[in-house]
Amino acid sequence: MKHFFYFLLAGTIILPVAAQAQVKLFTKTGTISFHSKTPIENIYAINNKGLSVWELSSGKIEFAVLMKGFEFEKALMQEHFNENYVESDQYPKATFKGTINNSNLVLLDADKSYNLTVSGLLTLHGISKEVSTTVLIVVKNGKIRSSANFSILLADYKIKIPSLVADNINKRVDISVVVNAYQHM
Amino acid sequence: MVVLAVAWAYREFNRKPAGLGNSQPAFVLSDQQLLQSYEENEEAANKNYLGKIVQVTGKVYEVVNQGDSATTIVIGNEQAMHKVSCLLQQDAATQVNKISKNELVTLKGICTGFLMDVELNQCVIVEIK
Repeated sequence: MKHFFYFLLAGTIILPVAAQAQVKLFTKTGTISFHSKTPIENIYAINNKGLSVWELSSGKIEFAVLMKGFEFEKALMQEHFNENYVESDQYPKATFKGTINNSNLVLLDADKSYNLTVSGLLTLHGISKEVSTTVLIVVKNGKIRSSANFSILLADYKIKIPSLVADNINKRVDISVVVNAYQHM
Repeated sequence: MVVLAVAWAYREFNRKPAGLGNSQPAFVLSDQQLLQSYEENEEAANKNYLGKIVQVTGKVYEVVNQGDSATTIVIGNEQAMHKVSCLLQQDAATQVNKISKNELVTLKGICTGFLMDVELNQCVIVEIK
């Protein structure tokens, strides 16, 4: 307990000086959803428990999401997704480790929107691939929201779709990542 | 026969993910026991719990409303880095206003793994003590 107070005391002295350099933001409630659309079937799944940590000065950003946490409209889709396609027992997580360019330009004390680029490694189904996209960051009343969209080819991650249902599932899947409110770490 | 088969196929195709209301848990334990096994060896813990119905009892740390009727009850110790995060099934979310911080609760849900917290999905409240 005593140490904790020293820590707080140190924090009040050092923090204002180092604030911009040290700011780390995080969330445990990022929303990751994906969408596959074909003339036969629309498949949509959502996961509201994405973990993300973003260091403002360096732009380093990470996401992690549990594959079994994706919820589908239909039970059968969810079962096929977990058992056959992403094999979530063997590969329970998907991660993204990357960098937001010019992240240090984002000011947390002014209402403003930023369109920045982000790139990094997406690891899914045990395979890592470079992805890049743009991210919209909106700072409003001290709340920091981010959103990004990109798409991946299932074949790039060795996700095999049986020929029987190949026409029901798009080979390119659109992914959306939204963080409604990053918190200070 | 054909009609039956078609009817079965149709129902199966449109089946919604099952609620956990009456399902028996595969494991019954405290939040601390569950956390300990994940902190010791995540891979081994996943082999046990991943995708299974787990029933945990612990103290409420916080209730998080994410809008869109996604509600999470986080249980665990105040200072602990890792906690058990229980995303409620939609119809269970109505019970949530009965729950306050530090209350002892029992929840069951499907274990989806470990990020910062051990994550349980489709949770229902079994008991508020």
